[in-house]
Parts: sequence; C-alpha cells; structure tokens
Amino acid sequence: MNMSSIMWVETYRPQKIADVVGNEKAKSQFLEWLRKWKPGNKAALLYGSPGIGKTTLVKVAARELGYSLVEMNASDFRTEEKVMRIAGRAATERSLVGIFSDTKGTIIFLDEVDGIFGREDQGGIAAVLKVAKSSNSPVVLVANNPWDPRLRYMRFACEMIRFYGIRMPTIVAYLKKIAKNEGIEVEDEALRIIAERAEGDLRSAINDFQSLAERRRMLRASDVESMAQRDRQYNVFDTLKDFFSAKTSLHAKRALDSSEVDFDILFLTIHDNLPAQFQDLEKMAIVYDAMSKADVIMGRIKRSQNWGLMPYVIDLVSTGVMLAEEEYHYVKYQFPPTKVAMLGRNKGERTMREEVCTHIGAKCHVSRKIANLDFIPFLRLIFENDKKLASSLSHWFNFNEKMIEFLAGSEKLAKAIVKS
Amino acid sequence: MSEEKEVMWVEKYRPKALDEVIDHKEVVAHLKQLLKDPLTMPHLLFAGPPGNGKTSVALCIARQLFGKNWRDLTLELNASDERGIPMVRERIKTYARLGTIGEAPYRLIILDESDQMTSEAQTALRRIMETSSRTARFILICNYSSKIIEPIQSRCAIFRFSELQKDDVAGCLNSIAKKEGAKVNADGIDAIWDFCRGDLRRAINTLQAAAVLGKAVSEGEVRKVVGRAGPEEVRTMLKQALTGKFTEARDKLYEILITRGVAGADLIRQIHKEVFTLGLSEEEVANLANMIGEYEFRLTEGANEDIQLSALLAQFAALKRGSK
Repeated sequence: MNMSSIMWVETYRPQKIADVVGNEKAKSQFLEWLRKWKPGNKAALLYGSPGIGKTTLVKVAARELGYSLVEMNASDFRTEEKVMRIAGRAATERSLVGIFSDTKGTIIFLDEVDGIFGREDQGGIAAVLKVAKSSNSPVVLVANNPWDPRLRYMRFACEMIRFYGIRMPTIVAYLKKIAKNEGIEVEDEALRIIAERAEGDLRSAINDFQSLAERRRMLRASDVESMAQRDRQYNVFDTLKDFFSAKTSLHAKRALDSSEVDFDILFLTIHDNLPAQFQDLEKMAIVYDAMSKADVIMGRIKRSQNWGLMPYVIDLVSTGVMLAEEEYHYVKYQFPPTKVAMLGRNKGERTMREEVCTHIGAKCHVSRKIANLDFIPFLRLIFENDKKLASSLSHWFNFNEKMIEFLAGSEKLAKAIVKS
Repeated sequence: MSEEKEVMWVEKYRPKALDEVIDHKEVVAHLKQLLKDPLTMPHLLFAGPPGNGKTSVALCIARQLFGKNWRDLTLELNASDERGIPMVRERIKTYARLGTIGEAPYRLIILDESDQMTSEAQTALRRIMETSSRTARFILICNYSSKIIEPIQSRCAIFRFSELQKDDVAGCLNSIAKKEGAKVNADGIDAIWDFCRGDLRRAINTLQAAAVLGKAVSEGEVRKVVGRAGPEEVRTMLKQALTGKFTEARDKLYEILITRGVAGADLIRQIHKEVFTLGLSEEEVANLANMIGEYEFRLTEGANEDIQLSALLAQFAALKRGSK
C-alpha cells in the first residue's frame, strides 16, 4: 500500500489520552465528568474552534476507558425520528449492553451539533436535547459555536467544557515528530510559518504540512511562503462546488452565506466559471440574466451604502442558478477570475496608457477617455509606420521613451523613433 | 511659436477664429453678436454630438476675448477626468475668484464634458457661477444638455451644435489633404465618412493615420485604420457570441476592456451600432436592440461592467441558438 496516500491526520491521530496535546484543563474536566457520570447527570458540551482535538479526545477516551461509542454527526440529525431511532435506542439499551458485554457501557456522541440547521431539521435539535436529558448513557456533544441561538436550551442542559486553540510551540513540536517519522528534513522556520498560519488549528496544520512536505526529503521556509494563496483557493473551490451542485436555492444560498471568501470576489468567480459549468448556452443565459440583475442591486448597495440589500443579491444569484435546471457535473474551476488575472498582468500597461492619455488631453483639449478612444489607435498606426512623424509627434506631445514604446509596440522601434 | 510646430492635424487645422469655423452658421452669428460687448456676455452652454466643433468654438471665443495671452486667462477643465465636488470646489472656485489681468473683463472657464459631472458637483457649480459672475464667465460643453441640472441651464445661453454634414466634413478633409500634400481618393473620403460620420475630430485623425499607410488614401487604407480603431474587434466578438463560441467572445470582451481600456458604456454603444451590420434578420435585430437597451440601463445602474457585458453576450449566444 502506498503510504503517502494516507492522510497524516489519521496516521498520527493520538491513540491514548496522554497523546492528545494541549487543553489540559478541558481534558481533565471532561475525564472528571465522565468518571462521575450517572443517569440524571448533565450531558457534556465540548466546544471550541475546529481542529483542536475535541472529537479526538472523546474517541480516545472512550476506547481507553472501555466505552463503546454510538456516533452521530450533523448529517444524521435531520429529523427527530432519526435521532430517536439511533441515539434513543442506544440510550435505553444501555443496561443490556452493560450486562452482556465487557464494556462499561456506551457513550452517545453527537458531533458538530451546531451544524444542524433550524428549519430543515424538523425537531432534530429538540430530539438531541431530549436524548441529552433522559439518557441512561453519558451523552457528549461537540460544537464549534455553542452561542448559536438555536443551541440556547442545549447550553442549559449541558456541562460546558471549553477547548482553546493549540499553542504554536505545541503544533511545531507535533509536526517535528511527524517529520522525524516520515524521514523529512525540515527547516524550523518552515514549521513555524505553518503553525502560525494554522491559528491554533492542529488538524489544518498537519494537512498543510502534509501537502507541502509529502514526497519531499527537505522542506524549506521558502516552500511554505506560497501557502496563503492556496488556502484561499481551496475555500473558493469548495464554495463553488457547493454552490453549483446545490439541489435547492436554499442550499445554494447557504453555500454563499457560509463562504469565507469575500463576496465581491466570489461573485466575480461565479460569473467567470459560468461558461464552464453550463454547456447549454440558453441555460447559461438564464443564469447570466440573474447575475446581471444581482449586479444592479450591487450597484445600488455600493452607491447608497445600504448593505441591508445584500440578501437580495445572494437570493438572485442562488435562485438564478436553480432556474437553469441543469444537472451538476464537476468542472475544474478557474480562480482567480480570468479578468482579475489579466488586470494583474496588464497593470503596467494600463498606467502607461493613462499617462499617455493625460499628455494627449493636455495638448488636444480632450478628456483621457476621448484620448484613449480617438487618438491612441491612430497614433499607434502612425508610430508603427512613420518613424519621422512619430518622432516629431513625440516631441510635440512631450512623450518619454516608455510612452513611445507603448505606442510603437516594441522597444526596438521606440529606440529608432527616438534616434530619428 | 508653439502653434507653428503643431503636428497633429486636429490641432494644426483647428479654427483659430470664429470665421474659420465650418458649419454652425447660426450659432457663430449669434455668438459674434454677443461678443460685441464682452461685459454683457452671459455664461454659455454648448450641446451637441462629439467632434463637431464645440471646444473649438469655445477656444475661438477665448482668443477673441483675450488675444494672444488667452491661455493666461482661461482655465480648461474636463469633467470626464475629474467628476466630483473637489474639482468644482478647489480648482473652479479658486480660479473664478482670481482677479483679472489688464483690460480683460473677466477670466474664462471652459468646462468640457460637463454632463459627466455628478449632480452634487453641478449643484456646487451653480453657486459659484452666481457668486463669481463679475470675475469669471463659464462655457459649459456637453453632449446632452438634459444631463445638466435645470438651475445651471437657466443661467446660461444655450447653443445647440447640430451634427456636421457630409459635404462639410469632406470639404474639410480635402482641404487638409491638399495643404499636407497628401492624395485622397473619393472612396477614401466615403470610407472615412462611413466610419466617423459627423465626428470631425475622429475623421481628421483617421485621415492622418491613413495617410501614413500609403501614397494615396483610398478605401483600403481607411479600412486598415478602422480595423485598428475598434469596430472590427467588436464585430469579431459579436460574431463569436452569435456562433456559440461564448468563451472566446468573453475573452475578446476582456481584451477590449482591459488592453484597449475602453469603458463599458462606450463599448455597449459600439455593440449597438454593430448589430445592424451583422446580416441578421429583422426580427433578430429587433430582439437584440431591445436587449441592448435593457443592458445599457443595467450597466449604468450596476456595479460591475464585466458582468453586465458578459451577460449581454450570453443573451446574444442564447438568442441566436434559440432561433435556429
């Protein structure tokens, strides 16, 4: 088996409680809660930002202390019925398990509870709450953001255990251990950059490290510098995939709402990728029409600074993509948007054009816009074809050599014009 | 003198006195009347399509008022370059309050493309026109007088510059060619007229560029110039869209917007012109014209011209496909 195809986050997931790094206080609080737990006690709600070991601790503790784990995550929470079927059964059958197996019992483990969405999860949250209150087994909930209003009652019913981001030196040490195991030489600075960018998220640090270091013998700090860009792209690609593959406009809307990408950039990126996503021109035209209407509202927002209109922009974009009724197929998305990339490449030329236009405007009593439209194309022809006239024009307009080059199209010709 | 070394024909042959202005007979006659007593001359508002002599006439007035020192007493501003209140507040206000020199009755402020000013800036300008009427006169130049706020219009004598006729344009081009020793054939003049219509500035520039390309300016030379100056690229883009090559069409659009630096609003007008030359059926032309009108409106209301113009191209692509 090809070892490198395995995710290091899995390979190096802690096997023992003692291996779980950081959050010593939360760890002992959780173990204490579990040790003392008896029916009627509160459930535990482990909370904190992603990738800092909440789920890992629960799994490792269950194994080490001899519990079996009945696990559910956000996708299972949709309806009350489903929650009751899985968790409810586990909760009441605990006594049987306890008698006939050698485990101490069962932990009901509900991961990502804040991933439950209100309207669609009919009764899901209420059911989780019910299980948490009446279970014969300890119930552990994990959430990133426990302050979500929908989790209000959950907070009262649970013992709250807070997890903090993993400190940088701890992350660096962890990565060093992996590097040693994998036989990779790493500059300390490289690890420091990775750890810093991870902002306490050990999981993403390991993922970043793997993507950078895999199949290398040596990782330098300079190899790591390019990482920020890649992170952002990853988010854009995720959002685009979620957006275009959404089955309902509500899903599409959610993909946009929950994206970390700046909306202006996202909007442009969707526009840029429409032709790739929609092969059928009529369908693409429908989506584009919605994008155009959304842009009109964007214009109003920017002029009036009334950002309260933003939801309508998102609505138009997400309902627009549904109107096309096209079956989703995966395409390789383009980012950054074609035009943004072109703008970057052409920045020097654009400033040069502005300067040339300013010179023309001063001499010929016209705006830069007219200079660009009604002078530059003609001047270019003259500069390409008549060095002598170009030379006297350059004098008259007071063009410098760079400007002459802009109009002549090549450095060589510009030099010849200057000499003549 | 600097005026003798001029090499751009548009400047070299720009009329220096009102009598040299071609066409606009009534306007010129009326202005001459007003200039008999400079002190009673009101603020002026010139309206009309581009390249038909508005700025030239304004400069002629400056010369007639101030003689050869006209530059010292005239402020030329272009609102398309600086559209906001700062321009009005800082530059115009300061200039309008400067005292006059010698016997000059006042200073002159020529505000070109004044319909590009924001309405806030126009409101600010209105006050300045009122308070500075002893020390300054304004000549506002615009394409559409309706874009100038009423209070300013009512403070100005309004002159409408109608579109130049073919005979006038042709006469002017021929006389320039003769003075420059360039040979121009009749089909060359026709081709320039087809491309530029009454926009004499563009016509003269076209002539000068075409003259560089060959011994005589015929249709072929003009075609080459026109090919470089816009319509050809727009036409290519539209044809790509209409044959379903949308991505190519959009790349072309980006190229026009970025590498040629054309503004979206100007491009959509060019698209509008081209629609009638693409050999489409009357029904298709009607549909597209309707669509272009809608998208031009959205373009002015919207935030991002790429999205609006791409969306318009997408409608081109879909419409053509749907009609097959």
